[in-house]
Amino acid sequence: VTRSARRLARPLVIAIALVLAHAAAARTLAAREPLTALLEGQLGVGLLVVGLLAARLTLSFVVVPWTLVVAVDSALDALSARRPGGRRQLRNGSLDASGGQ
Amino acid sequence: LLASVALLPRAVAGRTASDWYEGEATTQDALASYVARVVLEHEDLHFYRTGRSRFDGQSAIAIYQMALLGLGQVVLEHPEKRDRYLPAMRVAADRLVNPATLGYAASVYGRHGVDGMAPGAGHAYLGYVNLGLGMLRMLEPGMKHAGLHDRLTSELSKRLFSSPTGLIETYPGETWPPDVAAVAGSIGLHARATGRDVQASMSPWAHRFAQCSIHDSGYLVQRMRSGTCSPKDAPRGSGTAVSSYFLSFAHPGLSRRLFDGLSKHGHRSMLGFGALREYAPGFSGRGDSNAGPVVLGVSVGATGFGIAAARAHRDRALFTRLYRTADLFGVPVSRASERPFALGGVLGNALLLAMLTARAP
Repeated sequence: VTRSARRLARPLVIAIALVLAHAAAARTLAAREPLTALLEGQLGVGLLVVGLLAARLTLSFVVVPWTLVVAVDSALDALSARRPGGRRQLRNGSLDASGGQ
Repeated sequence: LLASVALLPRAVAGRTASDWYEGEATTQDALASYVARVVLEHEDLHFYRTGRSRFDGQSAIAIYQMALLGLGQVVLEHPEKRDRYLPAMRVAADRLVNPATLGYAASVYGRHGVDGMAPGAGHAYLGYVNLGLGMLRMLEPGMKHAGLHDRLTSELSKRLFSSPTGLIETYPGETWPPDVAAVAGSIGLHARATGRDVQASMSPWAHRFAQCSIHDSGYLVQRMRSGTCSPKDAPRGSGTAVSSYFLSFAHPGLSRRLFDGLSKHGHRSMLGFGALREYAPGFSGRGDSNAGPVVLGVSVGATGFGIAAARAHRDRALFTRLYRTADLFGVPVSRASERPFALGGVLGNALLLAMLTARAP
């Protein structure tokens, strides 16, 4: 279980950090008028828009699916670990696919 | 992992698509209340100060017109919201008819069309003004601008229905079919609001307009040489989509024809996210202030305006795919009871409100 939690920690921390950064950038931009700022050549707002979109795309297409896959995999590992001859042993090659239960 | 990439983002971005498509009141309210508040709180006539009077004026006209259309559509779908949104609609109408909002028109014509139109002068930019007035009149038949609304409609009808090409100029030497579609839409909306029947004039006009301005692909040519049916620009998705929306108020068949062109030749989709091509097949070019940026051949304008065309013509699948893209790149963010798109600004949010609440013809 500890090993599964460790595996999940990295994508989870990245996801949480990106979600927080995304929320902060979105709220900042919603309180402004992005088009006005861009028309006035405010570089900071332009960078914020690019950063927000980059965070949103990374979250949507990379981090959240990755986190979900790792979470499901870790959960299955954790469940298997409780049973002798489960998934973890299969992965280690100690049992054949017919199982040993 | 591939399955989750294919399924998760589309599910997240499209979670409110069905609510928008069905016209769910709370979802509409969250954006409408933002647009209404901004219109009421904004003290200046203009929203952008670029120093270019044409851009500053036209963007303000677009904001007021789309606010009127969007808020009006919400009220037509949920009549109990009438008292909540009418004050903002009245303010938007007052500013829409103020000649100072689009001073550029007076600078090129000598006087703004609201103050009077010389014979032969097109003034098709008034289609946007007149559409906004039409929506307010649908809800408030005795509105204070009713006389002006009648006069503008009469003047524009004379010009439009007598044009051999079905086109009139927006400004001297400039003929833009999407602006002409706005004029036709405004005449249709005036007829609905006042209980008149204009089909006897509208149908022959639609035939001339289609012959002159619609490309074989079904896309509408963005700009023509004045007085001719000779294209000055390519058939463009942004103009086609917004014209399909405008014409839904006047000529459902022509509106449908433009929508069919977009959905058959312009639709691009990946992982459940949809977008519309800016240039018809066989044409290429850059983005501009009408289309916004063009990326990989699809444009912000065509995709955004296409949302309205898809909802008006009850194409749930296309609406959902286009909405997911708007959600992904528009970044909706909740603030108290409001939920505007963070990257939309006032213009983008007013436009999206009108597009997301477009009604069937």
